Amino acid sequence: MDLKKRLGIISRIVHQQPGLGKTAMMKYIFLLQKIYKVPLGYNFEIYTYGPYSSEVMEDIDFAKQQSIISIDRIVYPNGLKGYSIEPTEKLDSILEQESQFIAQYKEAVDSTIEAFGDRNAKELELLTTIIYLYSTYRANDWPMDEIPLNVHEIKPHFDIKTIREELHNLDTQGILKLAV
Amino acid sequence: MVYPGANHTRFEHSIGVMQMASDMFDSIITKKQNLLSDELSLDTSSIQVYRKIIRLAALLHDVGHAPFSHSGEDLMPLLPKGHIGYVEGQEKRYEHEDYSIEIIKTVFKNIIEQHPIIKVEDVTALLGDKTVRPPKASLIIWKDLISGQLDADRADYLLRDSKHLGVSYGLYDRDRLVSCMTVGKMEETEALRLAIEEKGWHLAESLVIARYQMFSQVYFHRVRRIYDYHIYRATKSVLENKGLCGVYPSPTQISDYLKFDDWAINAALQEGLGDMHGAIIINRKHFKCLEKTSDNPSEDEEAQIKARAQDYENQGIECYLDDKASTSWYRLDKDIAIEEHNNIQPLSEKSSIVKAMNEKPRLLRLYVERAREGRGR
Repeated sequence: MDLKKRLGIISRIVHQQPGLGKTAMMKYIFLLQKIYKVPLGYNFEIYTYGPYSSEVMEDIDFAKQQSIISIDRIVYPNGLKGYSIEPTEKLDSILEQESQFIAQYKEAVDSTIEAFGDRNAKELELLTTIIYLYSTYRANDWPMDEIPLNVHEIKPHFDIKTIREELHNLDTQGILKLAV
Repeated sequence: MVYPGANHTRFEHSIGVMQMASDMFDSIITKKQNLLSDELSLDTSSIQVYRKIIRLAALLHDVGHAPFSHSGEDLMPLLPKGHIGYVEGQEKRYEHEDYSIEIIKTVFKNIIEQHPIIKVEDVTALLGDKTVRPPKASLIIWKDLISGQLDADRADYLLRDSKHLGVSYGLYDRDRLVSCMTVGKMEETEALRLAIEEKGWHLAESLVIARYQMFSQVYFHRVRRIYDYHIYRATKSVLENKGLCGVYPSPTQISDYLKFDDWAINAALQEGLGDMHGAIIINRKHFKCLEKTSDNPSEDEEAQIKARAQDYENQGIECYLDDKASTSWYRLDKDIAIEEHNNIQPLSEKSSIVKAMNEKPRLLRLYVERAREGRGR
């Protein structure tokens, strides 16, 4: 997947949801690739902070260097510090240049925002960790009932009950079945 | 070719990475054992076991590299349908990490599992093995030491390459880096990750500058880059001439893959199995770089250099347009995490030099075969 198309998708996300943080952008891109099969070609691995790809950070940095987006420091309502990614005047030209590719995946971006747009960065870390593990468990044919404990081992600040609830919600929304 | 003193191998690098990872681990445990215990339930009995797992992962992290390292990565086969990393519509290849994991699981399993507690999967999990259950946070956090912004791999190869190449860049204060290693909480989510203490942020800055200099002056040197291409093409010919469809055996045929090392490929080149590019390597008559774009080329620049390459091709002149900068294995990872009062912020918040740096250049270079370099103009 070439850089311009990846920047096109990043631009579309920022256009649709200005003010997104860096962590949320990382997790949205994971979701687009894993759930909605947008062929972005990033390689995600699991860390204590959920699925992460250094290539995504490179592309966000490049978009900033090229003045396609701006990134401001902010303080969230929960007191945590973070970032706000905003569109710039140049963003529209990227959207136009990559309009064909974006059009193919416009619905995927919109669906991601609709399903996850009200979640904060901490919650997105948990949800994407659940999805990553679900996909890995399915691929390896491991017992699915072990997922909540494994998620808890990676994200020990979330209790098993919360993890089970989120797993159930993702299942009910039909998201998990798309993550295979 | 470019740096005649650079005869060091991955073996000594691997030992260096093991030592670096051990020193970093010890430094962090010394100062943050309580935090790791409170946040991730890291108990004292696990520390010595984890230290051994990390040392093994560091020692073996590169064991799957193809002959001549990264230049062989495009000769690894495509992931088959059904593979855990396969994505419909995308052509993804196996990576050297896949081979490392397979070699550890086969060749080294019996040796590793002579330890009463450690399983081979504990080691491969730190190398990104997607066929083993992700380990608990108190172990997975150390993955950053093996493949992260501050990993022991890059910390070692910068100094090692600099020394063997005989260049004066790539240098930073190794002992100070180790002593400033710590963990902190990420700003947006409070998840723990490895970082450098705030008092060492100038050191982090010097590390990024060292990476940048080695990248631009050494790893991306125009002659070094074209030999990557010649090695790739010559090795592809060798593999074809040996009836292997131009790609290495996959990790599922690991004993066949292990038959290929630098010496085997060198011998094949001497036998003429590398065809035209093999001869170029033996005779040191590499393609010459005739044109290049700026580090971040405009669309016009890109179009111009691509049109020039097309001109050469139309005239039957062999050329190579190197546009792999953006997909290179090398990562600047400039935003090293800096920890202050247990919280993390990126280095670019502290350093205006780092803030202004591009993550990586995206230049294109046009190379043309030597005997005919003047004919396309």
